[in-house]
Amino acid sequence: MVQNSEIVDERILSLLREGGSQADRGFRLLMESYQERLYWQVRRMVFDHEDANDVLQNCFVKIYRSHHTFEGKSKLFTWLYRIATNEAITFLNKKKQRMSTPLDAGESPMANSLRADEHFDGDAAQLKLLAAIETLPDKQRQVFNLRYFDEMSYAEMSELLGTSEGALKASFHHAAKKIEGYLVNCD
Amino acid sequence: MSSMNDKELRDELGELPFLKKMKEQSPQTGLQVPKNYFKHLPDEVLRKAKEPVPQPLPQPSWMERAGEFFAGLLQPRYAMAFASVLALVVAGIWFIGKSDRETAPPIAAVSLNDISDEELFAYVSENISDFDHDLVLETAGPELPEIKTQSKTKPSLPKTAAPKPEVEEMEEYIDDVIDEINVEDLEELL
Repeated sequence: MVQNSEIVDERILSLLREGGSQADRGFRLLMESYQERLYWQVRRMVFDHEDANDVLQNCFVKIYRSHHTFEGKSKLFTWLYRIATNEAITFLNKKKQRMSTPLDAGESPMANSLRADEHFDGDAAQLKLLAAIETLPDKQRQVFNLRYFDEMSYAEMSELLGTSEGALKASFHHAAKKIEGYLVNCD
Repeated sequence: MSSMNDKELRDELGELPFLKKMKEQSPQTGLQVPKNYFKHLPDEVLRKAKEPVPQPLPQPSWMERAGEFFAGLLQPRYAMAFASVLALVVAGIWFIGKSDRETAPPIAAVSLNDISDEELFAYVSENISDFDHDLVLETAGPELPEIKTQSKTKPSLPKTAAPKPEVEEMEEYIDDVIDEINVEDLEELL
């Protein structure tokens, strides 16, 4: 499967380098190959579908306009993932600046928003889990999502995030303990 | 991905019962994606990516900015204010210059030739004590023997200046002083 992924990446990059209509074909192939994985990474960071859609579209527009800057020093997905997460973090920071902090320490605005969201059909436990994930710092949130939901190995995560495996294990352990504490206190 | 296949992950969650239970019972987040979302996304992105990129407005050069600044100064209301300030500054400079001219000492306007010899002689005689003796002697020389003699023979204070004490009063004063002096103090002094 890894070999297949590398072949697809080569094909995508080759088409993009050709330019013109071939570049569009290459870009379509790139999106078909990675859009779903990237969407879920972004969605689990911003939670709301419309927000995830905005972030993902901006991210792919940037990739389309700057694909020539990809040097091939890392895997194509690593490059795409970093662009997408940077875009998501920028979006979240802007959103934090726009939103005022609620005076009461009740349910988070994200949880309230998700409750009314037609693109969320989870139960109360899942809502609590998402609210707990929202409390994590950006990097810990990435590590937790990749490990808990995607079950990605630390070796793959290390390549993706450019962090040592030991640091990632520690980061996941801290994140998981925080979430467990949040769930226990909410129960 | 819906089940916990990774043994290492299961071990990691072993000491966290809530998370482990949630992972086993509802492994996903409950987040849904609209139907056919991924089918239409590439077309939407390509349409956006091909839209012309809005160019940032070019920044004016410093000469253009300076020109705009001075052009702004020539606007009627700014020009009026600028003219008023300028008029106040000019008036201030003129007024300060005038008062300086009025309060300037008149010495500069009087020439030494306008003073007569008698006036000069009278001034020097009256203020002879203010002058250094050696300087007076050196300056006077043989042309002014009167000043030279006067400065040597006459003391700085004229004799008639202080009143003469009466002899009786003086004797009384001395007697009083002698009476007041202690014999021991006198011996010490001697």
